[in-house]
Amino acid sequence: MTIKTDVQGELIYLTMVLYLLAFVLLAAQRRRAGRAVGFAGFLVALASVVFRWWSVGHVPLRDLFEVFLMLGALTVPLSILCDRVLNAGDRKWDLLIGAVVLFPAGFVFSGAPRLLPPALQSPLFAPHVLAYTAAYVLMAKATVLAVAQFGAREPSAAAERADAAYRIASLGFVMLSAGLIIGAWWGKLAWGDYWNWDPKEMWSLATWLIYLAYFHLRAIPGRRYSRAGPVFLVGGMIAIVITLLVVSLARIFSSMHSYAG
Amino acid sequence: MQAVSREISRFRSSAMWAAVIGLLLLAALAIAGSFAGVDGARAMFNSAPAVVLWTLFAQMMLASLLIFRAVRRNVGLLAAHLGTALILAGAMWGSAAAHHLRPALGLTPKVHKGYLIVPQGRSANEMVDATGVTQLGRLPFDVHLEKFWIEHYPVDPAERWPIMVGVIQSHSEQRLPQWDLSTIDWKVGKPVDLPAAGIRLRVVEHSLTRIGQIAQAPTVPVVKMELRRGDRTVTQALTGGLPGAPARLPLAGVFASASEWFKAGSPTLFMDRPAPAVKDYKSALAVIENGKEAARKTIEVNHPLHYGGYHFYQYDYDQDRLNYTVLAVVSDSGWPAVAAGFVLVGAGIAWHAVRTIIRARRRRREQ
Repeated sequence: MTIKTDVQGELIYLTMVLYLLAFVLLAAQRRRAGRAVGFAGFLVALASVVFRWWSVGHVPLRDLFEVFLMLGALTVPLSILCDRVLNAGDRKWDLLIGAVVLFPAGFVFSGAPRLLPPALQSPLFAPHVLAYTAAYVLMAKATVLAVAQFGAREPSAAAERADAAYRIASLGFVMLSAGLIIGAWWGKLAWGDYWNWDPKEMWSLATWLIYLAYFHLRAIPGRRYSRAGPVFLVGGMIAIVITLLVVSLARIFSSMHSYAG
Repeated sequence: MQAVSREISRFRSSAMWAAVIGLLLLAALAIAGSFAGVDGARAMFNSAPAVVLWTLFAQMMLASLLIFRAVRRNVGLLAAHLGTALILAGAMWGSAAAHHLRPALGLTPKVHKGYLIVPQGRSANEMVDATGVTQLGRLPFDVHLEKFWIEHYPVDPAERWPIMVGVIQSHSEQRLPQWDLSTIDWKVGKPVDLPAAGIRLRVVEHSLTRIGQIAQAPTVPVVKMELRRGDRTVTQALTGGLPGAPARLPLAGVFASASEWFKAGSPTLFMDRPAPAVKDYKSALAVIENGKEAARKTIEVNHPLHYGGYHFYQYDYDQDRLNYTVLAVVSDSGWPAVAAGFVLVGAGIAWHAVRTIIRARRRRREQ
């Protein structure tokens, strides 16, 4: 673990502080103050992403440091989207998710700027990674809600949380599918194959299939199987963590997606 | 009538459970494939049992249209299921096994995947395998390489150029001195010990300067450092040089005498310009068919040439003299179906999700 003493590091730490402060305010039922501080945190996170973009001269999605920076920035707008459009989610837990995902960017991953190699110089690079980044945030929110259904005191509240998790996961699955399809298309243009049997691709596919199984489970006529749903969402989230981190960093996998490490 | 309806409902339930189990099985196989490595996973998923599985899945996609009215009536679900079947069909048609079957089916033979080595200024049409030795087949046209070149990112003088400390290992009148070099992990303000020289180094300033007086003179770094050995401390600077001319700084100043420095192996600092990072590899190609130029394109990574049923990708090159390029050649059989399938699956999933969200909002408003 290292503390970053440059401007980039300070922007990350300020964002984390604001997100955590907003979480505390919302938990203390200070809704207006909490939302204002949370939005301020988002503006700092956005400034952090823009600063990085200016520093490196390309869309900041090249490595894990930049991906986690973007995860932190996407948390608030996706939280607002889920709240206003999907009527789902809890802003305070979203802010905690935002602070947590910024931790690796702030303390673990090196922020040394890296040039884009030839394979990443594609108009599909940003949409592919952005789609996955948004999907991961949405699926994390859905997982939190799905697990929270077991803490509900009333069956109706549990069912509402399960349905809210389903709505968020539906949107997350659109982004996950977009990421997978754009990635396959890009692979065809860059490497000659839309599927290269790479460990990152295999885990991405496994993640997608787990969520697809979840949606098929929800569509079974008759019973709702509300208790099995969270198991699928948690399983999918574990697969996401493995895809994003373990495949990129662990030596047991050698992947052409090593740019992301 | 009610009994029939119940049976149908039970059958649909079983079919959905079969889908859930099938998807989880496929997920488990994908995870197993990730541990098998790229070649292992490719072999596993292209094996005969896997072909049976893919065929079964494609049939399940189509069967879902018959079993579930919702799939037929819902545009999104219909597109997603049809798209998946199309992807599976296209993938099987584009596989190596399907290419082997082409002559037996009365179709023009095509090579599934190969490589084309094209010397600069010349043409080639003979595809080889990854070893470059085994010939796989001949293209019905020639690919001519006009020029191959590499583009680099400019070297940033503000970035930390590598500094190495060298100690002479052996002297000989007949040979140049043999240096034992080790790279220093330096940063402004950070002390670094150089055990081979018995010196502690600390960079105190990293600035830029121009070599020469004219406006176009290149900018190079100047690294000012404190060097300490025992109770002697000197301040010296290394100024970056032009390509092929690394900066040198003999560390004699911290030694009591020149002979002591010589006995210690003449420790010397070197600072060399870092190798520029590659920005792109490019091949200017022309396709010659029946004696006439049929197509022309400068290809690079992410921008292949598509002609005559094949895609041509920038794959490798002559690493010594840039005298030839190596193109990966991939048959496009099955790709249009797979591409159409991608569009259908993506659009179908998006449509269904939007529809689900709109219906949920409508239900909440009515409550």
